Amino acid sequence: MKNTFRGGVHPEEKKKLSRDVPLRLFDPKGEMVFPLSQHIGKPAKAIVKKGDPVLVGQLIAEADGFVSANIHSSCSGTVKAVEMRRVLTGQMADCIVIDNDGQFTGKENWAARDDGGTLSNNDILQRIQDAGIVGLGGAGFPTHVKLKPKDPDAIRWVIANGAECEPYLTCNDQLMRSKGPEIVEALELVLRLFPNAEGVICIENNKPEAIKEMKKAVGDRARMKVKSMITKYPQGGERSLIEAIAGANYPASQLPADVGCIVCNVGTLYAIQRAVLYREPLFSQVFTLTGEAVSQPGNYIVRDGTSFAELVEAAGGLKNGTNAMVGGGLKTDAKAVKALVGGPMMGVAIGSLDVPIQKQNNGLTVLDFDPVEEAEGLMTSCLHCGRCSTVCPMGLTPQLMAEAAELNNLERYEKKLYGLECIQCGSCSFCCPAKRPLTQTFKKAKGEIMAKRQREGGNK
Amino acid sequence: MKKCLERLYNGLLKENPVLVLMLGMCPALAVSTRALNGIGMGLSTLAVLVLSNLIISCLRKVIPDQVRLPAYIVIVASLVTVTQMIIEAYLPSLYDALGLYIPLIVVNCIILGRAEAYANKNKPLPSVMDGIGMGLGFTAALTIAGALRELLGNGTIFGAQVMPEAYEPMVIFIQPPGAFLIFALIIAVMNAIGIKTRQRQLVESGCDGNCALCATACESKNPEEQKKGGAEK
Amino acid sequence: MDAGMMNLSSAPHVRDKWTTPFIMRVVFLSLMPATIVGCVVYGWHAAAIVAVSIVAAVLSEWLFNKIAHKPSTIWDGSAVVTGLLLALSLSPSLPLYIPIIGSVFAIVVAKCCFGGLGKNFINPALAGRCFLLISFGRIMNTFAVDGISSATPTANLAAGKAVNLTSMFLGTSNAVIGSSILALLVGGLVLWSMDIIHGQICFSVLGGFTLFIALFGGQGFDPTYLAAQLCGGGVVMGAFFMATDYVTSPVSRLGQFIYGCTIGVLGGLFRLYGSAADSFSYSVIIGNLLTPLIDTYIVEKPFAYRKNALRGLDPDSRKPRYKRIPKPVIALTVIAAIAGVALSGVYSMTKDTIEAQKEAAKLESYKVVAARADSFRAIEKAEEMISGSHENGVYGSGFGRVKINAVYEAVDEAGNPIGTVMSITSSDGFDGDVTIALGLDADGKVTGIAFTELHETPGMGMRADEESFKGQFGGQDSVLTLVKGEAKNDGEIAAITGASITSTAVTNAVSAGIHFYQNVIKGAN
Repeated sequence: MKNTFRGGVHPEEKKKLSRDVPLRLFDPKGEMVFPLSQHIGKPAKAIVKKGDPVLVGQLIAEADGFVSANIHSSCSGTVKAVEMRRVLTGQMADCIVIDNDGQFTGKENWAARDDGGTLSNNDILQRIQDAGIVGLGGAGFPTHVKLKPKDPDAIRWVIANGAECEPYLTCNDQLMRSKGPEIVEALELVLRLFPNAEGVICIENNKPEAIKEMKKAVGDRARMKVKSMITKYPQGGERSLIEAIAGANYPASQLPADVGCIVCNVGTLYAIQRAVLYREPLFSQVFTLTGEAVSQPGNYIVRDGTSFAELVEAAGGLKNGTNAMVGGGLKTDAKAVKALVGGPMMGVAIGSLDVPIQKQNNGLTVLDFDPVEEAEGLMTSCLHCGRCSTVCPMGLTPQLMAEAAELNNLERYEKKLYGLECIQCGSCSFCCPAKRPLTQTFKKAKGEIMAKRQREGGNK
Repeated sequence: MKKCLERLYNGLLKENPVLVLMLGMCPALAVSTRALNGIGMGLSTLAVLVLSNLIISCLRKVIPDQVRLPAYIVIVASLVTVTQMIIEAYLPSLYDALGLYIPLIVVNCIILGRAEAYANKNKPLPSVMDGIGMGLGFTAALTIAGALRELLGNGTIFGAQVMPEAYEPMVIFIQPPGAFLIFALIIAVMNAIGIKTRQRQLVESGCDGNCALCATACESKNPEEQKKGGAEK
Repeated sequence: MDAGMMNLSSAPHVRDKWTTPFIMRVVFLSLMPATIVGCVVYGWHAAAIVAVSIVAAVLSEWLFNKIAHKPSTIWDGSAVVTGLLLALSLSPSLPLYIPIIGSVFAIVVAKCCFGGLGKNFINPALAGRCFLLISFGRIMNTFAVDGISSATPTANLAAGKAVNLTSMFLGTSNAVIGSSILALLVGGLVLWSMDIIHGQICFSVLGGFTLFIALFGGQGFDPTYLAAQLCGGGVVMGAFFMATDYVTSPVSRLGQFIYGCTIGVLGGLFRLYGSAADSFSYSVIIGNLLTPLIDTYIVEKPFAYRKNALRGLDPDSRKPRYKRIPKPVIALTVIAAIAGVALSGVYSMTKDTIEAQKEAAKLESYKVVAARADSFRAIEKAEEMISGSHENGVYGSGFGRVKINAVYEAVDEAGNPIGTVMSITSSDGFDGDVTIALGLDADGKVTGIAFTELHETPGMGMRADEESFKGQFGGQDSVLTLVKGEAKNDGEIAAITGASITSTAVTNAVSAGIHFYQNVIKGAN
């Protein structure tokens, strides 16, 4: 078991902006919008219609199929509509829009706690499924599916992902500092499903307080331990974590379970604890609002469906030169130039803040400078320096992949250069001296290959 | 008459065997070490080319199709041997200079190429003009290249000292690498001019340059295309 | 909420500080120690060469981009580096038009014509240098310190003379501008430590070269000799700055190692057995040409597809990492290796016999030219006379590349000297060396010549062996002149028509022999 993986880069951490701000629950006032697809797999089916009253925690959309998840309301009020609304990707999607009455009346009292000892494995899995829990690390894979691999006895490691390798983001850090025991409890529940597994809580070493808290929470439990990892991006990536902990590399066509691993984000684990022991469904998650252009960066527990704009405004708004509210050593004349859902390495740039926060979103980073714009002016042709190959955590050769993709040689890209193994972590683009848009090229190539497969699959 | 002039223009410029069709590169590169060699080789090839085109054109209806290539080679080889003997007898210094390259005229792709592409499908007079045109084109290409190589690599043209005394000749141009470099340069220049001409031509005739799919009788096409297009000769 | 016009782009949204101009600047700075030492040691003219080379490179790239209607690329600094590298590999006493022509060729032909930065197939600076070497061979080989022209340390080393290792190391010896090994090492190691150049390449070049020289140089692992070989002829410059050029070196680590070793071995091969001492440029270029081949066959797979992908689960799996080299390549290599071993084995077995036969043939030929002699005995101090009168392995001047191999006295049965025989080789033959046995009688007149080595063109050069040509030398006793047509006067030899080169070589050999007899043998007595 190692404490790092091959490849990776070291972007500036910038976590000082928000790392010591404790989690705070945010109760919004505006309408709440729930897209029906907040997970990997088929979108959920709405079970409410216009005019229905809803309470916090009420099921408003049902999972459709095996790889799908339930959606619960995070507010109380009346269903305004089930219609197309703009989501953060910029596209329109089916959403349930609820008029928020501001009371947040809960469906149940979640103070009553069940004894975990009386629950069977199936109970545990069922409660997770009912709660609509998806991977809160950003991918949004339905957790109950992840926890039902073909061979549970073959699982040797259950990895709690507390790496939080993205720059700027600090919500998992705060979660671990404040909810350590709960996370450990959740891990114990998960370990019950996998009798042969060992639990490893991985935390990057730039979070010493979190490491301390988690170690305290773990205590002297036999099947669990806390592992401090070297701070390097993308340590928090599933495959990099597994390379470090299990010493195994597996291709994109396989799952962690195929090499005996289950990986869960610490936020997901906390949700599992609430769901299994308190029957509380998933309707909120930890979230970091950060960036040089944000007046008051901080960590929140944010309700799904909240509009990004409302959260930002409640936190003092963005700096626009004239309206800046200054706090603790931040730039005073910052102007918001870029808003990213997530962190700067893999985050999605959004054009408008008037979109809803979804289950898988765990941060909003608003920058006052745009490195990509600077880089565009400095782009040259590929030097073949090989830095990209050195840093790729998957061991790919991005310089050759980019050459093939730019020449539209998708056959070579996929078959000879293993282009679909790319996890789009952005390490190669980050370190390229020629400032070439490598990650973007690979996303495009993957998109074209997938589209071609669909067309050909449809024709057969 | 117009057709004959057209053949000359074709061989010299539009379909120059060395610079456009890229035939006969081997002797072109090897022999063009000086301008005089270029002329010598070019004219010898021209002689052989004209005669071979003439003979093959006259015999085109007689030679069976299946054996046409061996037949051509026999004819061309005989012509070259005759040429070689004549040069050896009456122009011994040229013979010394061209040496090994005269027998190589047999396998010069231009001879066989023109026999196959033109002479066996056309009447004798146009074939002769085609031979003259191609031969002149070959000679011109070799002479120009030879002159440049001699100039840069020796300071002389046709033996006459052109560059000043202080000029340090760049020996590479007399050697094979220089041959490639000079020819590349000439072809690049020709292409640059050619692009402008073709663009103008396309604009004037309103076509998209795709001869294979076009049925119009058009002067810019070569005879095969005309045939395929079903146009009348 | 109106956040103003926000930028949209694809992830990742941050970049690290390395840029192309940054890399070029670091390389430029790492070459500065060598440049400064070179300019200080060799003076203003060297600095002028450096400046002119860089300016020419940048201007030609700018001009090419303008003429080809492409965006200007000179801001990335690669033209500056190319110009500097080229200048550092030139002799400090060259006329200024040489670096200009070299730079223009390097940038326009080797780089821009193929697509500019990142698309060249050979190292542009070396391409320029090789172009200059072929075009201006004689000038490129003049190395003058304070106006006095002398051989470079590498040339001296090849001729077996001693070299001053310290001056080579510091850069004060008579060599190219960028020849200070100390300065080059400083720059090179800085580049390596910053991970701008790959250690696999530079160290395997040096290693391959050293190993080859050690095995075949004739002096074993003698450290002084190896150091002298390494410090000369652009090996260090080539290893750290030329072979490591990103575009022309392989992508995979194993590929880079193979590439480096190939360059090192070729460098050693050319150094020991090639005709020019300055041949490292060609080895690097050959390495560059091999790069696409290496890249085709040596492909690094992603971690998940390597044989040891599941090493953590099953600790016993440690298998080779790269795609297996296909069978035909292995087969061919094995066959070639066996053939090579067989050939060298047979050669070494028969070498002595062949030598002995050659000696016997020489003796035979001596007998031919000195028919009445009973035996031949060595002349006192013959060795010294020969080596003393030869400069760089050549005798005299005006005889071309002629070498007196041996000289004997012909004696009759009574032991009285009746004449002299000499074995002389001229390397100016059309197809190789021409070696004759020259016989002189007691008065110094030629009794005749016989050929011990003549490989000329049949019907042309080979006719030198006919009596009609050979016979002309009989009775001559002074340095000869070759004429075309008929030889009318004394001391004239009629050349064979169509074989002027062979005729010249033979005549020069005989003249050299006569000259040697008159000035060295007779002179000593």
